[in-house]
Amino acid sequence: MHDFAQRAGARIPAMADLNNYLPAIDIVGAAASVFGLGFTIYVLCVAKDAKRAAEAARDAALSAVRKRSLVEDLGDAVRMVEQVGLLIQRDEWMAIHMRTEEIVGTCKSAMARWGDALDDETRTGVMTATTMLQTIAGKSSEFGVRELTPAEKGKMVLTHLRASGLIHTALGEARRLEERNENNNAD
Amino acid sequence: MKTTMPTEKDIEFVQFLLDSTQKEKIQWQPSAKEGQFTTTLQQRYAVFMTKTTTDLITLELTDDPSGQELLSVRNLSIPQVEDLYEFVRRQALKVDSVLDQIMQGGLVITTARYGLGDHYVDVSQQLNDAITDDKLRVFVGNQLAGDPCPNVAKNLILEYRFRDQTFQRTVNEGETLDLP
Repeated sequence: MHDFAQRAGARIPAMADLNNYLPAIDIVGAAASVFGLGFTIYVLCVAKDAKRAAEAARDAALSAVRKRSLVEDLGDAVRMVEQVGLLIQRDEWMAIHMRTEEIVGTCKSAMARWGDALDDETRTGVMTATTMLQTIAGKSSEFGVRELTPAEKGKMVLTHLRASGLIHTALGEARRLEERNENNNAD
Repeated sequence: MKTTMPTEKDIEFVQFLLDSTQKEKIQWQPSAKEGQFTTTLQQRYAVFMTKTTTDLITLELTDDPSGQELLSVRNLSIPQVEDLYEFVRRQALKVDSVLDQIMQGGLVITTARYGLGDHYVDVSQQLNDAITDDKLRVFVGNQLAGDPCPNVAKNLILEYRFRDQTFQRTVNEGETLDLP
């Protein structure tokens, strides 16, 4: 007990000395607070910029996916349309029926999902092409049971050709959009 | 769908189609059915104009996603339907352009075969349809009418008439045909 009192007593002058340093400690504390506030503001700004950049990157990625998917879907439709051209030449009506139905489905789904990227006229063209292809599908199911006349075949070839042209136009426009998008991203 | 007496709105719609077709605001296309032409309105509604062998003309409007028929009118009930059909037919088959081509001795593809050896497809109709203002510029490839012999380099052999003379040309796959 005696020792403790002695030691505590010895400290009292040392704590009193600290009072001499209080103004300096206040200044350092205030400076640290100001620095802390500044740092916090800086972190907030950086975080805000990072969020904005992340959002822009996400939008660009989504846009690229959107255009690419439109190109891919229309590319698939064009490949199938080319096959239908050959199938008409070979009078393979069952295959024509199935392929044209597939094209109609692909085109309609592409227009519903990503069609707003295209011109109104081009979209109308694709929709008209699907209607034309449906008439080919309908007509081809008739030819399974009877021989077609040269005039009927000519009509089918012309319809296929025009529908093919309309879908090719849409694919061309979709590719152009995709290229423009890629160039903008590169810039 | 049973055709009933046309309403004022039906007549107005036929007149709208007639005006829009004459001003080429609507692009009509041939369908695979005899005497039938089609177009799309507002990227949703399919319109069909059909002329039967008995000269009966029908105008049908269908809602494309559901396939539901919305309207069906005939030339018997609305006489303007007959005028509309004639304008539609001329536009879809590019009649005026063909007449110009005939009168000016323009470019006509008489035969065109795309392929190799015995494996070929007749593409004369495709090429004739692609002629614009007496000029034909088309990429020679499978987009013409599919691939008649896969994984083989093909060519296009064609014969055409221009200003009362006959010419022959052979173009390799992947090249561009430029006529005359």
